[in-house]
Amino acid sequence: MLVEELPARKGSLSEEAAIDEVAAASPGTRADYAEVQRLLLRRPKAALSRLSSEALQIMRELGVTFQLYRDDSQKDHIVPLDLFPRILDAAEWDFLARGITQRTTLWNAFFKDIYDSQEVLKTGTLPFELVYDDPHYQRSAVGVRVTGDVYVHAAAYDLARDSSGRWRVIEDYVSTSGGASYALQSRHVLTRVCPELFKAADVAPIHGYPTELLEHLRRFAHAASTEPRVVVLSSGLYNSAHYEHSYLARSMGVPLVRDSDLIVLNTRVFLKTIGGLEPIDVIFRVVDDWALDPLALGTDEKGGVPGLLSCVRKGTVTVANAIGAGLGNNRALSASLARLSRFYLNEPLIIPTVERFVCFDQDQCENVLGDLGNLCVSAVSDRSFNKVWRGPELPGEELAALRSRIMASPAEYVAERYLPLTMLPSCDANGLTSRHAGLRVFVFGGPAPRLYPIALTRSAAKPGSRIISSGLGGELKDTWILRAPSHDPSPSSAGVVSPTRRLRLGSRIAENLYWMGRYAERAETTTRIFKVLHQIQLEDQAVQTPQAWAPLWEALARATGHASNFFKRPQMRKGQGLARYVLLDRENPSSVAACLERCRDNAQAIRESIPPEVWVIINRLHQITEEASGFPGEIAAGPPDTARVLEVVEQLLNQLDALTGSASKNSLRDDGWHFWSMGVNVDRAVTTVLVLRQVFLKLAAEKELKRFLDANLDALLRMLSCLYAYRSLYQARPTPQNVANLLLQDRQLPRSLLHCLERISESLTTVFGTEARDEKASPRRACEQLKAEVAFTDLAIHLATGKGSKPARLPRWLEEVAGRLNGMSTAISDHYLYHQAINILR
Amino acid sequence: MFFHIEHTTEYVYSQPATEAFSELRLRPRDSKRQKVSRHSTLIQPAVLVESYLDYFANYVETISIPFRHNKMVVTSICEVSTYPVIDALSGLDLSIGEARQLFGERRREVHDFLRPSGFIQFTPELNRMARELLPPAKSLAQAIKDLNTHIHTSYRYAPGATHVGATVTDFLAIRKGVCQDFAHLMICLCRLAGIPARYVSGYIESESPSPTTADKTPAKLIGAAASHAWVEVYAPNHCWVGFDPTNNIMEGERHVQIGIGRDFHDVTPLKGVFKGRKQQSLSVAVRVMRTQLAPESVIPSTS
Repeated sequence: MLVEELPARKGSLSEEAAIDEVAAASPGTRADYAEVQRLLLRRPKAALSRLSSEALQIMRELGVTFQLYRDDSQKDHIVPLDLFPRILDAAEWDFLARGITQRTTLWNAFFKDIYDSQEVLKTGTLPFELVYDDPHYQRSAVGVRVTGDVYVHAAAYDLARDSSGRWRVIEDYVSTSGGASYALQSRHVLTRVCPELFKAADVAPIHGYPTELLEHLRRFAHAASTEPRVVVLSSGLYNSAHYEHSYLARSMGVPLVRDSDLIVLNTRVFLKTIGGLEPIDVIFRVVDDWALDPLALGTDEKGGVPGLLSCVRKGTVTVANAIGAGLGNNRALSASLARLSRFYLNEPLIIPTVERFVCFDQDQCENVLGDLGNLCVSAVSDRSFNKVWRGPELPGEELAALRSRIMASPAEYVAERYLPLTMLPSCDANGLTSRHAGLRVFVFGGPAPRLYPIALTRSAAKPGSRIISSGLGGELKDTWILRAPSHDPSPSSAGVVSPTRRLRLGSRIAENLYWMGRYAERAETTTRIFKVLHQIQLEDQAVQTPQAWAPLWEALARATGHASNFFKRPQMRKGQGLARYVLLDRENPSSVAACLERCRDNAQAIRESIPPEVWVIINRLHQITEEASGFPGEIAAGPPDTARVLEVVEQLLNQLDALTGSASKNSLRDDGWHFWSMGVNVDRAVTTVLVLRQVFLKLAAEKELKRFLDANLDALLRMLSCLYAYRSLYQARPTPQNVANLLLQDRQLPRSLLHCLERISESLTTVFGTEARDEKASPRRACEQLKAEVAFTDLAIHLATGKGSKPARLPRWLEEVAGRLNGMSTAISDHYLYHQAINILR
Repeated sequence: MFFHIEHTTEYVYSQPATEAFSELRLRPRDSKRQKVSRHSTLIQPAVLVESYLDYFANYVETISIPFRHNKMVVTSICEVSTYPVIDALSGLDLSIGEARQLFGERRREVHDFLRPSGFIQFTPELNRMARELLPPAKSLAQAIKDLNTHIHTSYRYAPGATHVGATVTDFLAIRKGVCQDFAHLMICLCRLAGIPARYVSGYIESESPSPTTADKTPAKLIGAAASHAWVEVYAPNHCWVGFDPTNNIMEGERHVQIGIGRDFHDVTPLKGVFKGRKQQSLSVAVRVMRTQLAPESVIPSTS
């Protein structure tokens, strides 16, 4: 009906043939395509494929990844970029803009009606079952007014031409809309690899998209917020499009948060930061409805922000797109849009939906069952990649199974005649070959929706293939929208107020960094202790039985958190299995492998926030323990191969040193670094204190004091890497008094308690200032008090044995110090990470 | 009748919980058959209570406890007057098949109460039972009353036999359960026969102060220690009619409705999430006391 509005087309088209975009383009655009083709093909084939691999390399460096759906490895897949762009001229784009903005207005009108008075259902314009039986219909969102009555703040649509050349929408993304960042990166990479191509045409720039999206979102903040604060809410690392979410958040300059980063308090949403709770005004969510509020929307789902819907109801926060927009995933509804357009807008639908059979309708269902082998069937509202069945590709028995599923619950299915995609040239080893391609466009919703001149073109990786999804191995193409004077200029940013105060580091990130520091430090201490004990054992094998070391071993094991009964087990008494238990046993929560695994878990959770160099080392450390566990008969089981044990230990220590070096070389000295550093120093201080306590407890119990002292104090200094420091300072054999002084009170020794406390105090002061909330239970106050006490305590008094050989007080004092260190660690968590002491920022 | 009701729910956590958020559906609804003259909810630890009306017009309160706490106590106190309920079903001379035709004009409104829901899943076995117990030719009024009695006599009331998440299928397998299971089964069979049915959560006066009561119900009824649950069936004259299969009676003055929904999930009295160790102990105490004195003024809560 609106074909006449399309640009003129050339070439005859058979019913089944996909339109060739180049042939079908307007004369001007065809000339642009010809120029692009000339510029690409004037190079030798080898040069062209070199450019292609260069593009892939840049995509890899940028980390443009997507998880493949059928890949269980959870590895990120680099999305390849094809060099040949798609070109859309201004007339074509204007037509798409009219159609897409109309469609967005329509969806918004539909949601406003469904989540209010439901006229469309009451009048019977739309069968109510389509809505009521859709799990995405959120009953609890009915009657909830949203800011400005806007439900669709940002949307995307997949488009293709049918065989007559008419644009059709094949998929609507009106709840969450992904892909824009892939379009941005495609442009970025193509301009780097083939800058000369851009001389061929006047291409509309797209780099402003993230900022405009942010400004657009800010407009929908509730009236009371003077400086609207926006966050991107994602489901975290395990989402296939995590790359996209973190890129978008980063380029908008707003935090990428997860549900647990937000908390509802007095019907207001807050972001937990180390500086306190920050009120949030707009949540740009890239998660489904059910993951937003477990109580109001989910069915006992874990996750989500409990109480979020209450906040929306009160109008204190805007969720974009609105809660309940997931209903737009329903393909039967998008097939009914022509009808809805007449109902809501009283005008015809400019760009129709692809011809789609809705099996809810008995007649249409019969049509589908009669022609199943030629149709593409999909679930009505489940967008999973495995809920699509291509009739022509299905073996007989699967087709029969599909038929009986459709007959059992017809309302669950829709079907399309074929996937109408168009053809575009792609570069490959033979120069250019024609492949199937699809188009995705991005629109800002609201009272006057606006199509931003950015589009994503995905094409098949092989000629003949219709698979274009990035999750199934498709490729990307840059999409050029040619500039025309008629293009909407961006609305002015007047009236959009930016926050004046900088957002502090998110509590979750701070927490992960803190624990990364603690676990890395614990792994290092344990490895070092093990190495020295192992060496001493070998050195002294001639004169001593392994059991002579039992007391010290036991002391250290207890101090580093190993089960105390472990050393009483028979195989340990024989000195077997020790390496495995201490280094590699993941069942032992204090083993080096277990510590490194938790260090890596913490790092992985915040991968976007740590330098890539640091991540590489953390990963490598994890690999070392994995590989060592994989050698049966060496370390993993049976008596250990000494050389292999020492090799693993050396590898671990090298990488742990590299980690410390890389972290200090590559990290900004920002709040995050201080949390890492506090983790390292808290753990080091705790270990020093506990090891010393255990050694002095043994010392009190030992009968052959002299022999014990000489050997054990020497070993202790070696294990804590303090032997040289001790010798250069005291130039004598170790005595209890000197060892205690060095390890507890020496300001210059990195291992000493006082040194660690001073570093923690520095970090706390740098991050939080001196005066900030120094109330009774503040971590800084706890730290300063402990620091002063440690610095000025006369250890001689604690070391003196009382009357009647009453044991020295030192172990008890050390126990108290350890308790206070742990208390300080809890205070850090409570204040900055868990917000047990509520402090709302205004 | 006039009731003073106290409902206390206590959660004790094995380890302190942080960031608890809960939704309470504890305030009885106002309707022709009952008026709430007073209601208050006390939370310990003391926090702010917000409220709204949900999709089924149930009164919901939300609370957020964003700090460490070892236990949470929710006490709901209300005063409710109930009035005699007119039996809108008995007078109808209609078969189930005829009634189904009449529901048609309200198809959209009752759709939710004809479809399966989380706890109420349709199975071939249940379908067979529905066909047998609720044949289209049978009188609707008689069939529903017989069904109420059938469920009461065929299944055993046994607290603790089923867990709170039990479905109709679970109940069928062991043939014993609590009021929630009795209600779910009756709803399921009605829906399978094309009769809209919904879940009612509320209170029941289990011990009557006088040995013979005006509505001829037994003095002792089941459902004392905790909140009660029963069923409402949609009559072709557009009235919802209450049945209590646990006690084999119709809903009467001794029933106080809190809320209605598709199944238990929609009207869970206290639903919450918290951060902390997943072990908790829950204790619930309900006291329903009939007061001889009528309330001084019965004011609907809307004013």
